[in-house]
Amino acid sequence: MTNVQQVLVRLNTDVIFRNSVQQKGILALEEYNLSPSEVAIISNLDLSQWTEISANGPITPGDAGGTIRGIRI
Amino acid sequence: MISYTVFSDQERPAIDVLLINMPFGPINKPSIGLGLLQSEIKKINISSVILNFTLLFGKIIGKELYEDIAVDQYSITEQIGEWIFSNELSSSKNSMEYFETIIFPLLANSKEKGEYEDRVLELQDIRAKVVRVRDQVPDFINNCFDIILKYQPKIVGFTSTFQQQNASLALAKRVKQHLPQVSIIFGGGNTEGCMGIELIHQFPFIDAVCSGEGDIVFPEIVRRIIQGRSINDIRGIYTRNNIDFVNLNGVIPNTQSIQNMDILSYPDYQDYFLQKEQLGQDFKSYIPFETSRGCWWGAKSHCLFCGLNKSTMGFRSKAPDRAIAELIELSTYYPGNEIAAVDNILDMKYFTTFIPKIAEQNLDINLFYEVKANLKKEHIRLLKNANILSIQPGIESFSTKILSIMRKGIKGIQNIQLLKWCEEFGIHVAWNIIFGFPEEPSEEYNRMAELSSLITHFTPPVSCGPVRLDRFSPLFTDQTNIKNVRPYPCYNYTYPDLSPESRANLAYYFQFDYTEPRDVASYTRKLVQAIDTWKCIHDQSFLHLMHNEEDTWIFDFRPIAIHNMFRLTGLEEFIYIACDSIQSLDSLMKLGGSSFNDLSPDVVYTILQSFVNMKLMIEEDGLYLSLGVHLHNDAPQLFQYQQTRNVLLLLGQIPDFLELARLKV
Repeated sequence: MTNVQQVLVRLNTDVIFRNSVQQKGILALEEYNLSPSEVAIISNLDLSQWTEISANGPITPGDAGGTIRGIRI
Repeated sequence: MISYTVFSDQERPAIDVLLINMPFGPINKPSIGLGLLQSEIKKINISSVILNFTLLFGKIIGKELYEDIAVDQYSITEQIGEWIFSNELSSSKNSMEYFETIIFPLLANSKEKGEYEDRVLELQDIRAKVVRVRDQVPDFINNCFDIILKYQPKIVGFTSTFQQQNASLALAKRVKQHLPQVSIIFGGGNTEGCMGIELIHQFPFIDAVCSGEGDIVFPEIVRRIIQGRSINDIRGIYTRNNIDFVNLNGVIPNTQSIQNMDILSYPDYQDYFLQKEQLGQDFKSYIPFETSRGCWWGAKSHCLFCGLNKSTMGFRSKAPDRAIAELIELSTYYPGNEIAAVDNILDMKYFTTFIPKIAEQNLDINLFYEVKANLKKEHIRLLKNANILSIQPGIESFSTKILSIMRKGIKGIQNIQLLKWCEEFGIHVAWNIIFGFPEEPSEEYNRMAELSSLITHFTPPVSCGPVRLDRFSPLFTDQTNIKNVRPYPCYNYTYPDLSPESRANLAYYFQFDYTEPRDVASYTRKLVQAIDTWKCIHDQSFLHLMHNEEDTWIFDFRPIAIHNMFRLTGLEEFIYIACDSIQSLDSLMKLGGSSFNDLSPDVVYTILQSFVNMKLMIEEDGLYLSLGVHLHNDAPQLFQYQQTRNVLLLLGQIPDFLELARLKV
């Protein structure tokens, strides 16, 4: 997965990350080493209109059968 | 004692018939049985009142605790509500032995130390609450009797279904002690067959029981009693004068059943809502609504575990226009309440008659129905359009082999298809998994556990537990591959003064042993764990399909996802979308028509297998089903998925299915 793809997956699934991007802007994306054009395009996303994510936190591949942040399974 | 006198705050005119709805019947809905009987006797100018003592007791002990006792986990094979009222019928006061013997052994199911300690505290809390409730029973029965007294009835009829037996018996006993001239009649599920006969044998304060449907016979019974005539010759009505002619081991005829459902009156629920208002109860109620009786599937193939009596199995449904008229009347007369059909199974003919008509009416309702699980996508669309937004399909398993043992007449993959389409159309689906059938192949449960991890984006089951042996079920009547059938031990405490033989005749739930021993708990453990996981992660599991003019995108946010998003085009897009409904390789080739003429089935098979390998599709015996849920045009997720797609298109970073699957087509 490219860095941009990783960012988009997290924005779709991780409420904390999404909030962070909304509040801090490009600073929240630093760890992904995106190019200026990639940052520019992602910064243009209207995250306020995205659907809410369960407050239980993100799920990622590999979580099934293990521990999802915040809940015991 | 809290005394609620709203039912009896003034002298009442004498009433011919009182119809009684006792704890622990549902508090959040009126009794349709009593509502129908009240309407039927009104036709012959008999006055009646339905007294919903369910509401009164709920007010006294609190609705939440009432419902815990009425419907929660100790309500079935522990019969905790029946134990609460058992003191009123027993010569010796009931002891705490019930908890030691029936409830606390359930702790053995708690394996982990922390869980065990939590459960001990929980059970101690339940015991304290239940004992407090039990201590309020004598005053409650006094209160009920005082209310009855004010009506000076000639007949008092009780509906007794599930955990309503001992409360009804307790009040009936009191009525007969003080008003011996009043005729006491019992009806409902608890009085069918030998259960009703045994009631007459054991409880002399009952004058008659009704075994079977009461709609036709009840007006006749009432008329005859008021005229001072005998009711001993009415089929399905049992009294002390005619039970000697009934062989307990033989056939016990039921009453004459309604054949033409359209002659039934509309049920009358006014007393329930009036009493609910008088008691200051403002919780949401459900309106029971009936369009059919019996089960068309059961008449063809009685499901192994189903306790519906064969004599009432014959399927009868109301004419669509009649059903619509009744629905409009009920939704208009009792506005703001959800409507729950009490039918055992939805009439399939209604998909072309009744259901489209509901949609045309544009009623402000939310309907519930039990359905057979082999519905087509068009059926689900029709349900949605008609505001039938909650269904209970008889899913029970994902294993075709086990479904066959159950006599369900459906494949496991069809059950999963239904869950997917309910997700797509936003239909709330309540369903269960049942295990522990004699002769079931144990290895199927590990396969079901693995399958469960793929479908966490569909609604999880409400429960996953062992089969219960219910009276009248084929498993009970045939006892094939089971032995030592006996009532659950709870009946020792709910009927402490009766002999084991009498308890066995009154019981509805039974235990059994397998003829060939099998360790069900062991071979179903992985599935039970998988279902627990499913329940935990369902809210965060998504597998969506977004259609565009030139492609289809899959967004896979299930914990088990291998790739989270990618684009489908061309052949793989066609195949994935075609498998929205179950397809075989042959049916796919036919579906492809002339465009597949130059295509080898091997290519199609390879793509199907790649979808299966990427956990986006399931396969069962050569049948394939896509697991992705189609998003409709009004789906809120479409906005973010379109934005996600646009970013990847702009940057040329499109995740392509064929590349991710390393396929060359």
